[in-house]
Amino acid sequence: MSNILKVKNLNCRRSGEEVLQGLSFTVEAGKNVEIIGSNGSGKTTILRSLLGFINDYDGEMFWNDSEVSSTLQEGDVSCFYQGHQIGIKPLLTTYENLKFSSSGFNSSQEEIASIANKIGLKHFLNRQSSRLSAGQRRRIAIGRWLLKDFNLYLIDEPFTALDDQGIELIEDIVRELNNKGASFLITGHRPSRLNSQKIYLDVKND
Amino acid sequence: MTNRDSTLDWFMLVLRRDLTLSFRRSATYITPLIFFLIVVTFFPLALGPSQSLLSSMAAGIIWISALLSSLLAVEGIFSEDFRDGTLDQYFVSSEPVFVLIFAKVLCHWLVCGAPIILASVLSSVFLYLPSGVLFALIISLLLGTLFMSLLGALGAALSLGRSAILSAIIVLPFSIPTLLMGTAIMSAAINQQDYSGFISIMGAMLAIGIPGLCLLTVEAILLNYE
Repeated sequence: MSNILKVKNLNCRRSGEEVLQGLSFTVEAGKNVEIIGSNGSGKTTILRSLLGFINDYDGEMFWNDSEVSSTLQEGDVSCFYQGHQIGIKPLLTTYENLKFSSSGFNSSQEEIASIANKIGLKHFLNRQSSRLSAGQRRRIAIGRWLLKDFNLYLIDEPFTALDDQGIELIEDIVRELNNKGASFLITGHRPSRLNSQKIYLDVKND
Repeated sequence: MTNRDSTLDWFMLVLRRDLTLSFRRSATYITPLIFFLIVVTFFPLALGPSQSLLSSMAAGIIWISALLSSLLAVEGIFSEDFRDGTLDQYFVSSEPVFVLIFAKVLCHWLVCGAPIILASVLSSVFLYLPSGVLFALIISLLLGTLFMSLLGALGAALSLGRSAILSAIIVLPFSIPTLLMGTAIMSAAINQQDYSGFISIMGAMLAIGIPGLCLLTVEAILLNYE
């Protein structure tokens, strides 16, 4: 099975301070990796270093089975990133938040309606997000995963603010996308029920 | 779908999204317009109703007011998208970031610059600007305010996450050439001289500014991530 991403000896720093040392893992196509740790353990820093938003790191990244270490931009991997801030605009409707997203601009009205149905927001398609609950806004963010086929989804704490149905929805969608060959690199405070390789991080207190 | 169609769709999507958000948040376009009208109105109140005095100062008054007004909303070009994670998602997507920046600049101009141009036509009446120079006023402001939106986007990108006034302080010194060109066009028009040379220079500034300043803005935004 091909590797979407292989990370070797990643050392990340935040504001000059080392947050993690010597992290190595591999994300295979159609598989998931979960990075689990408490606040400040460097979960977000790993994701943002992989994406190139943080350059204060060393180590090697091999994208798409390449034998040469490269950045994401050089690696030719289609990625979807969802950080702590999920980019849902309160003044836009559910439909607009899906359509106007980086993954949704080529989607038809029917495709968006079908995704809204899947994420349980069929009856809220034309409602402004300011009038939705935090959990419902999270569901819109999850709906964006389905708008386009990506190789790798980097999702920072996706289970935040979700009820049991919301968590099940994520599990179903991850399984569906895994079956299409997509991989997930997810962070969280505690392990999820997802079928994944789990990596535990410690907080550096020194 | 060809890459060109896809890029155009991407441009239209960002433009539509930003226009929708701007019109749902009316302060975005009303504040610069009201500010412009208030500043322009203050001059006749302060200087008195002398037609010759106001007429000789009209071009400068309109231009300075337009420059200051167009800078009022620049901070908002990227700040919300930066705070709520939208910029992260746009930057990670495979769509060209340059196109995203230009669409956002064009939206800023449409909601802030274009209404100011219309208001300047109205204000030219009570500043006794000769009606024969209206075309020069409109064309100079059209080029000048679009260039200011480009400069404003760069200032906004450099000051992301910091004080809103910082972007105006960064941008204002760089707006001097635009101000000089704009007022030179107006002086030439009032004195019935040929001003096409100045318009060409402003057009050239804009032609270089669109790619140059948009690329610099992309780099300035990336600086905030490091």
